[in-house]
Amino acid sequence: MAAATDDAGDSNEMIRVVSSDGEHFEMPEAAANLSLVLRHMIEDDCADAAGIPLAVVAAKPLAKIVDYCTKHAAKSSGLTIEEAEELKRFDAEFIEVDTDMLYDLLVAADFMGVEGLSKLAVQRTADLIKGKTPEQNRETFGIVNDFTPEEEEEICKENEWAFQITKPPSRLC
Amino acid sequence: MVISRRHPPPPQQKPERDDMPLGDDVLHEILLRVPPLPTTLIRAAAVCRRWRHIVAEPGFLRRYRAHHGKPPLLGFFVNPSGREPLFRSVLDAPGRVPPERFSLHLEDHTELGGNWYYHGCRHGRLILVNWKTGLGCRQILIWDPITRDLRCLSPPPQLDALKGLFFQATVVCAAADMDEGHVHGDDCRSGPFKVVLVGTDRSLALAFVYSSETGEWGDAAEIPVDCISVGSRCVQVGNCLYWMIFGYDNNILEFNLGSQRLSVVEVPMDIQQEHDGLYPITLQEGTELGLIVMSGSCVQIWQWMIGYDGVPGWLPIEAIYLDQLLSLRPGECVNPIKVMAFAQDENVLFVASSSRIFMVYLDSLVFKQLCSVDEFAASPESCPIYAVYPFACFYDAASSLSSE
Repeated sequence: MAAATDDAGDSNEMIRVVSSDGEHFEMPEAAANLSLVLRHMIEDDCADAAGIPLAVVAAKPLAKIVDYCTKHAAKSSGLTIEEAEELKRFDAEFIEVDTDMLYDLLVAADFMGVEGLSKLAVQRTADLIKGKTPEQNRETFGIVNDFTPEEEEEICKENEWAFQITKPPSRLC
Repeated sequence: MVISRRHPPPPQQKPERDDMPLGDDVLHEILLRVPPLPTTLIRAAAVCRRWRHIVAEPGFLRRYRAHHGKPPLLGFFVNPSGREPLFRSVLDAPGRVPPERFSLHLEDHTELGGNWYYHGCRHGRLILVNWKTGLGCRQILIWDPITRDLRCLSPPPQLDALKGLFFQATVVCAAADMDEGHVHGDDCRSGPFKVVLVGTDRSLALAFVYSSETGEWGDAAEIPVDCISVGSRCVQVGNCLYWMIFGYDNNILEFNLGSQRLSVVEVPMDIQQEHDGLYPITLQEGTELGLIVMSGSCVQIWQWMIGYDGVPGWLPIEAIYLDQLLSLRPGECVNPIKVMAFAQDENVLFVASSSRIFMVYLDSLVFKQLCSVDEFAASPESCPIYAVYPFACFYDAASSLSSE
């Protein structure tokens, strides 16, 4: 269960959210406001003691998202250089997750409209794609190769050099 | 919108994952952010049908290029034989585009003999000029190595009367003088272009401009000069192009694409005394004209700017001591007459020592050794090379996928 921090935003009100598997979480209103969906629900007066249910977000990613929002809401404006760097370090550590969690965060951040987290997870995924062969990418992301062998051969032939496994660079001189 | 979400959801079984559980929008955003190295999009498009479909959308490639801004510097061309240009990648594997991917077979397009002079590339287009002693400039080729599109131009008819003159040539994006919101980059490749020829008969400098929109050469622009030759390196600052002009005095020739006028930017004797090479460059992210004065292994950079008194002049900016910067081997020295290129969009200088070619990022002074200077001397007709032609481009899967 993620706990609220004291320095999060102006409002002291705590917002309750409920994961798809029934777990309850609390976060400061300023943190919840980082989610477009939660903000609209708060504005529509839908945030009550029972908690806002998030039908597609399971407890595991929701705990992470509450963490993310609480941290970012606490440091939302007027950042010093040190604070901005600390937040950057937090983000870098935060997004060091396995592929399953990365998918969960991508889906949940998209669903909840948490823009900063969406960007972070999208960039992390793009960084994971970099430098991998198609087969390595399929393995990393659990993707089924749905090309026919003929199509695959055609694709590889088109830019054969691009599919060669990286060899250590040969000495130039 | 919100009411339905207030009902407790049915208990969910976590599905077995056998495919990316992401919407197309999210996947689109992810693929947009893979770094613009030559292999990344090609490999992404070979993962599965869904990825391939997204990468192949014309809208995706437009957004991809816009997202990444400046295209990456892929490598450079050289032309040691006076025939086909050769490509060399400056990237490490797996981003090394092989030379044969950017090969041009001139005999498929022209039967002209004589030498093909290579005049460099700008915004994805390369320009080659056929020149033969006594006959002068006979044909101009504009080549896009990515799409392999090749355009042959006849030289301006006025050149018939100027057969002995050697002309420098450059290709520019036509948007330079018509669209202020246009940012030069990869999109220039598909837009209209201009070719500018400049030469001198020792009393006049002449410039001719071809427009791909009209398909015609315009009238000659002229200015009296006292020079023997026009340098091969050309830089562009806004709407103006600049070349060195060499003679008793060495100055810089300016051609304004908007007004179609030539003028001369003077280089005072005191800054070029005992120089070993003069090269025009750009400074301040391509917005200001600069000049490199080589003296031994020292690169002295000057900037052309308006002084406090309102009078334009040259200001020394920086001196780079290449012999100290590059980790040279015993007996190896910098060759000051081999400042081989300036890639203005990347602010990279290509220099050579007695044995190797390097690229130096002028912003950071980070350098990279590229190849041996002897690498291009393999064939008997090869001449020593004094210039390389940097090529920056998004090597995306567009050309192979867009036809699907």
